[in-house]
Amino acid sequence: MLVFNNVKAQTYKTDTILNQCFSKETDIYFSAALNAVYHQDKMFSAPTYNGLGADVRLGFQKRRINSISQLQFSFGSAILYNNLQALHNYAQYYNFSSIFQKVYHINKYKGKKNSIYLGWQLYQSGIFNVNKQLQNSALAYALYFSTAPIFRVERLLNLNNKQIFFLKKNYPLRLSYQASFPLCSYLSRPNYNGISHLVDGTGNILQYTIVNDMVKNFKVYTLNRFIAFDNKVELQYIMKNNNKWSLQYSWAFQAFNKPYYQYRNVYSGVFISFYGNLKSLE
Amino acid sequence: MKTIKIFILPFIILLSGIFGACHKVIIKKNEKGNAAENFEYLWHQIYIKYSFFQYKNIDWQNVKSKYLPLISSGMSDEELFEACALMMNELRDGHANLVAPFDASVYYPIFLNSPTNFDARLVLTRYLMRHGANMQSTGAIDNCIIDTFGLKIGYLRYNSFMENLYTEDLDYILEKMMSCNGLILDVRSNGGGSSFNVFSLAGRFADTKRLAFKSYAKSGHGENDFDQGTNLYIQPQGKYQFTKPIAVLTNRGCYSATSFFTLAMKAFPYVKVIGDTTGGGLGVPNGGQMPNGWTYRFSVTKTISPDGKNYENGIPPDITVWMSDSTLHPTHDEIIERAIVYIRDGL
Repeated sequence: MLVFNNVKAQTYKTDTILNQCFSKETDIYFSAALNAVYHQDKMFSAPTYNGLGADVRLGFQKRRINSISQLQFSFGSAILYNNLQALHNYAQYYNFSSIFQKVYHINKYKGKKNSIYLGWQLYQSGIFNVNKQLQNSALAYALYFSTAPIFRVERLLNLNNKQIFFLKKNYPLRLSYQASFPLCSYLSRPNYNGISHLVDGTGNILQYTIVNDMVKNFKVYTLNRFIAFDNKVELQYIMKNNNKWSLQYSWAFQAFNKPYYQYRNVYSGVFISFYGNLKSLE
Repeated sequence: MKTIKIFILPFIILLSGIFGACHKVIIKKNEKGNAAENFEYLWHQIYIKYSFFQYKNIDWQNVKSKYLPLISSGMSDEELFEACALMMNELRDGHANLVAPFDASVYYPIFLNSPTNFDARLVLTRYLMRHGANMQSTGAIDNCIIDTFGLKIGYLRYNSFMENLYTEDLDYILEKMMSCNGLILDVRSNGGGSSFNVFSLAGRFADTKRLAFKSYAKSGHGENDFDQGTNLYIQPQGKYQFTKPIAVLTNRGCYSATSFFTLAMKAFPYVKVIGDTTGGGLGVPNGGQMPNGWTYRFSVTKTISPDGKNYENGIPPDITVWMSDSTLHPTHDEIIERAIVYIRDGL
């Protein structure tokens, strides 16, 4: 119980649950979310669009005494509107992302209520905004790869001996907060006019495909051009079989400020996740 | 549970509140902006992206000086729209349009200041529906075979490149036309549409892969900031390719995709363009949105022919023919008749 010394283990009837779940955890998890998006792509459109949508995530998490590793893939979409036009002038928003991160436990000694982690993250994100009324410039995107330091703090809580709704007594809750702040990003935006429809005459292959643009327009940017911030707070309910349910609130933003290519995006989502434990009984 | 009540829930609510409100700082709430801001936004977008200032000898700063006095804080949306539309019409470009919920601007003079050179009723009654022509409407293309001077001449009428062309339809038409001595492709008054249709149609008349034109897109805010250009080719497509004499009929109503098609067809030595100069429109338009939500578009590329010419103002025909416009009840279409002569005599 070295790691989770802030838990009053004596309050649990079965220490075995804690031993199983806290010494080694390898989870596969699935999440579903409702999201809210604010998006402004100044390359093509002055107004801000905002709306609601949904996300799904699939991930793997390996938790050891010293570290937590996580690989996650997510897809989200939303329908965005502006308050200046009729509702049929909406934009479709899509977000594909994948993350690999590793954080290291830096205060493993007894007596600390909070477990603090520091680590790093490799993050890939593709934001696609389809605004059909903009015709040949209807498709705007921002694709980036970034590296970011991570700060994470966790705290185990207990339910004492009471049963609250579906949360059974004697099972722990894990509250965590994580923030990441990319320092360096490899980012691609559409060509100067966002034209993406010409054909080259050989089999109707698009002249300006998204892929061509992405490859051609990738450049490295640091904080003077691209600022992003991603943070989330999560509450996990750990069950007897070491599977978990979690409720998470995630909030992120990106702001790209290169002249003629600016965009801003604010995202927030409420996730419900199920963690299926794979190796807790090793 | 007391811990949860005291610590967790307020913490989550606080974070949600803080970050939920942050978007208002990062992304400003939409405001329609005043007339001057919207005018300036539109003017500036055109200034940094329009592709034909030099070719058309337009001084965009002067245009601003001309129309800015029309802008006032108390003007109505309709008045602002009219001022912006007039400014865009200074581009003399059919691809320069402004769209508001109550109106859309179009630059008409390209077509209206020229002879029509096309009579749909005459084409229908005199050629498509003539005895023995066996007119068919196959997908987007009306077609028939005209039997004249002992020749069989295929006639294809394509009204709009907005109407998609399907492989099966083109296969059917081309198979039917393969026995003809020549073909008339009538794209007069075809205002354009999808560039995909340009290549799928022109490829049916290609003997081999040929350079059709080169496209340059604006890549910066300078008047001459264009990318390195991309070659665009026409290559044989479909089951059949018709490579006997072909006459492409044009008038000033041929715009955008139809001009692209006409330019592409000129790459083939057995093709003659007959009729009037096309309307042009060889700059691909982008799209954008003003602070007040109105949308606009204007040309952001230029197209150069294989011989290095810019035909933005129209592609001249190989054989110029105008229809006589004084006749109320014309009996024949001079442009089609000239095309028949070309197929018959090769001249």
